[in-house]
Amino acid sequence: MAALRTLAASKKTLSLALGGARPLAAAAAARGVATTVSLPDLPYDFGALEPAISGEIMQLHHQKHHATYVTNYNKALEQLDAAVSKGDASAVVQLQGAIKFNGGGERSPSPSLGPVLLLCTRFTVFPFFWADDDADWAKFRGHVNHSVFWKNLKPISEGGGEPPHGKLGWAIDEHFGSFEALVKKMNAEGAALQGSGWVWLALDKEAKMLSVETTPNQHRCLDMIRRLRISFQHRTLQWQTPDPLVTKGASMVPLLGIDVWEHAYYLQYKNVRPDYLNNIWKVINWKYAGEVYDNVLA
Amino acid sequence: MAASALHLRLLPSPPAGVQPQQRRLRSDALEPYMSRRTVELHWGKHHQDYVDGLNKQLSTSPLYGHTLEELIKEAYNNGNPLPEYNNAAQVWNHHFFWESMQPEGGGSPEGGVLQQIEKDFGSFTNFREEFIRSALQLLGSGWVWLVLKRNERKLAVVHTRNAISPLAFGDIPIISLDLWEHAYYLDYKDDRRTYVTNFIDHLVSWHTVTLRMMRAESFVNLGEPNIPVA
Repeated sequence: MAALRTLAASKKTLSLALGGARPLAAAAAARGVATTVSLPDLPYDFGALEPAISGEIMQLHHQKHHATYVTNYNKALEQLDAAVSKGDASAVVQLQGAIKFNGGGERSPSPSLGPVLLLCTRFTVFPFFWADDDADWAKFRGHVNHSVFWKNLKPISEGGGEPPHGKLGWAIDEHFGSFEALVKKMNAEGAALQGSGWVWLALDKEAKMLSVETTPNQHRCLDMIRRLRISFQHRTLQWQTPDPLVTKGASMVPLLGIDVWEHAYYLQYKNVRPDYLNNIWKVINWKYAGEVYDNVLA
Repeated sequence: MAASALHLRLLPSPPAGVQPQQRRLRSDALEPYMSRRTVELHWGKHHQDYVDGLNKQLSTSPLYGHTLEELIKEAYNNGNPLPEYNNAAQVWNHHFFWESMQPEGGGSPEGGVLQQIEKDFGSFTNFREEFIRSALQLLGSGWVWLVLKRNERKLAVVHTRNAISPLAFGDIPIISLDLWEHAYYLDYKDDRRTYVTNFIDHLVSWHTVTLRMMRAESFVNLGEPNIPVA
């Protein structure tokens, strides 16, 4: 009850901070919270990756699956914003899944949300993050993963499938023995992944080492589970270093991700995921991966 | 019930070394809600792969000799699953799934099952909506179930990820629906909602549900018997 009173008292503060009719994005940015996202265009036609990936799959994957992640995430953000403006405590708690800050941001002080956050803590924020696959946070990650995925692919006519050169090529040879060995490893891990997920070639930027990782559903290498720590003292929200037992590592940068959810290949390859994996190398955009690698280690 | 002769009837849960399942039903029997192509792939490839994989594992595994249900509980290992778990659970789950459906199924249950659903969900409509909602909330691969919860002694709708089944929690499954994308992608593409709606409206076998509830009541006391006063 005391918590609710705190919230009621802060409603005036909230509405002052949110400024009534300000547009969602501007208000969100001012508060340091996540902004709405939009579906990126594919840098090639739907049919451009044939015969490795059919045009039908590309169209569905982009226009339906990825688009749905974008729509649902944006909807959740709008609902959250509405709930915060009204001071609707229970709705805010329910929509916690959409409380996130610009992807990659380490720290987002939000003094105007202070009282609301205090309320949230009484409902143990943390357990939510362990059930993150049911949350809209997962849709945000789905959007991010797919946005990277479209860049990881390139039509054969534009250089897709050409093995990596330069620093990344050498690093692959050094770490995995050969390019073929890397492909074999990623194929094996991708095929062995149960259910839905991704297989990644990741760069640990601190250790400066490449590794092959798999993540379930829409998890990324970067943030398997990131704990949101509420600091009473500073009245801020901070991303806490992820628990090393459950994460791949906060310093992991994905160079290359392959979607092994069934929707990524089923219409064409049916249950034979290994065939999909064997064929997708023909359209992998190593140039992009090399650029990311060079930028990170520069 | 005339429809029983047309059930997708597979052998009951055999002891592992798992026998290849006998098919008694045409694969197009569930059209138009589940196409022949889907059934042939889903049963003939996915389910068969799990059976073959499990048999291969059991040829060298110390877990050989259990019944399938015992194997699942053993291999689940309280949340740290052993290698046999996935194949064993998926064999069981798919078998249960095929038996949860029948041609010209759906509609609504009658008698004791309907009474129990109304008691635990308020109304059949509530149950139906809860089932659909739970199925849509699941992100990724998994299953949605109507279960009889042992401790609470009531029916509930739950969804589980990947290969996990309510057997792992000690509850009694009554209906299952496969929500892995391979179960519906060829017929419905990304439209999971229509797939689930068609299942509950046109495919679910309330006859099988009744049999399962009858069996479940031997394990869970759902109410006091009506003993007439002499």
